[in-house]
Amino acid sequence: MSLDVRLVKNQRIDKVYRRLLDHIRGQGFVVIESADAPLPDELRGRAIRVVERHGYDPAKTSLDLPVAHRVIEAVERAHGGARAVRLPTLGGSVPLWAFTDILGLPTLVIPYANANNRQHGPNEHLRLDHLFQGVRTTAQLLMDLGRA
Amino acid sequence: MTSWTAFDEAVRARRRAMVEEFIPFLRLDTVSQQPARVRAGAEWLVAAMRRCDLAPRVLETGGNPTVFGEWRVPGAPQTLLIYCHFDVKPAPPAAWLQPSPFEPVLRRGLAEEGAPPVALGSIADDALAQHYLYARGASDDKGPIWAHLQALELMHRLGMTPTVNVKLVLEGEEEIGTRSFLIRPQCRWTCVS
Repeated sequence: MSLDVRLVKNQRIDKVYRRLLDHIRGQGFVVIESADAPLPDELRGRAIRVVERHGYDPAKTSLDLPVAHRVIEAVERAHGGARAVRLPTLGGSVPLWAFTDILGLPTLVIPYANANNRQHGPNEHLRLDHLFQGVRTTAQLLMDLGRA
Repeated sequence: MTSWTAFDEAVRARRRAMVEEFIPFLRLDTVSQQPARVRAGAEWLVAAMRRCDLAPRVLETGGNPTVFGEWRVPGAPQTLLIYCHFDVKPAPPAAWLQPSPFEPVLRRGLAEEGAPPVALGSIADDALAQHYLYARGASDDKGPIWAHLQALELMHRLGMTPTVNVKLVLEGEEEIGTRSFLIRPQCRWTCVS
C-alpha cells in the first residue's frame, strides 16, 4: 500500500516521516526501513516495510505579494477580465520548494488544463479551448510582467 | 501597446496546426520509469524549442534529463522562470476508452459519457475549441508545455518582445519525485540562476 502525506508550510518532510513511523510503531508494528532486508520469522504479521520513500518539503508564496498581484492581473487580462480563481494553497507534489527555498523566488502555479482532466488516471484529456487560451495566457504574462 | 488583436488572430489561424504538431509529442510514451523513452521526449523538445529560438540544451542530472531553454531580452531586469515536466505517469491501456493512451483521440465531449472519437480532419477550425484531446500527458504536463512553446513561437513571428527574460525548465522526473535533479548538489539550479 502507499501512504501520501500532504505537507503545509513550516512542516519538514524528515520530521513528518519520523513521526509517521513513530505512529506505526505505536500501533505495535516493527518498522523495517529497507526494501530488501530479510524479515525474521518472529516478526511475520507484525512488521511494516518501507519499500520506497520520496517527497520534499512544502512551498508557499503569499498571494498578497506585489508580484502575485501582477500575475493575477495578467491572467485576468488574458481571460477578458474574468476574475481569476485564487487558491492560497494547492495539494499535490510539484518540487516548488526548489524555487522558493533554494532560489528564494516567489513561485505561483497557474493551471492551464480543464479541472476535470483526469490526470494520472485513465482517459486523461485536455480541452482544446484551454490549450488555445493557455497560449494567450503565457503571452500576456511575458508582455505584462516586466512592464513598469 | 501590444496588439492583442493581431496575436489572437494568429492563434486562431494556427489552431489546427497547433493540434497537429502537438500529437507527435503525445505519441512519445515518456513514462518516468522508461529512461530511454523520456530521453526521446527531451530530444523532441530540444528540436521544438530550437524552432522557437530558445537555445535549448539537455541538462544531465544522473537520472532522466531536464531540458533548458531561454529568451534573453536586452535591458529586461527581471526573469520569469517557467517550470513544467515532460515525463508522464504510467498508463495501463486496459482502463482507457481508446486503444492506446499514446495514440491521441479527439472527442466532442467526455469519453465516459459516450462521446465518440472524431477525426481531426472532420472538425471545422471554429469547432476545435469544443473538442477534448485524449492522451496520457495531454493535461499533465505536455499541454501546458505546448501552450508555452506556441506562445513563444507566435511572439517571435509577430515581433513581440517579452518584457522579462524567460527561462524554461522542463523536467523529466517530476512524476517519480524529482529525485535526481535536486538531490545532486552540482545540479542545484546553477544553470538557471
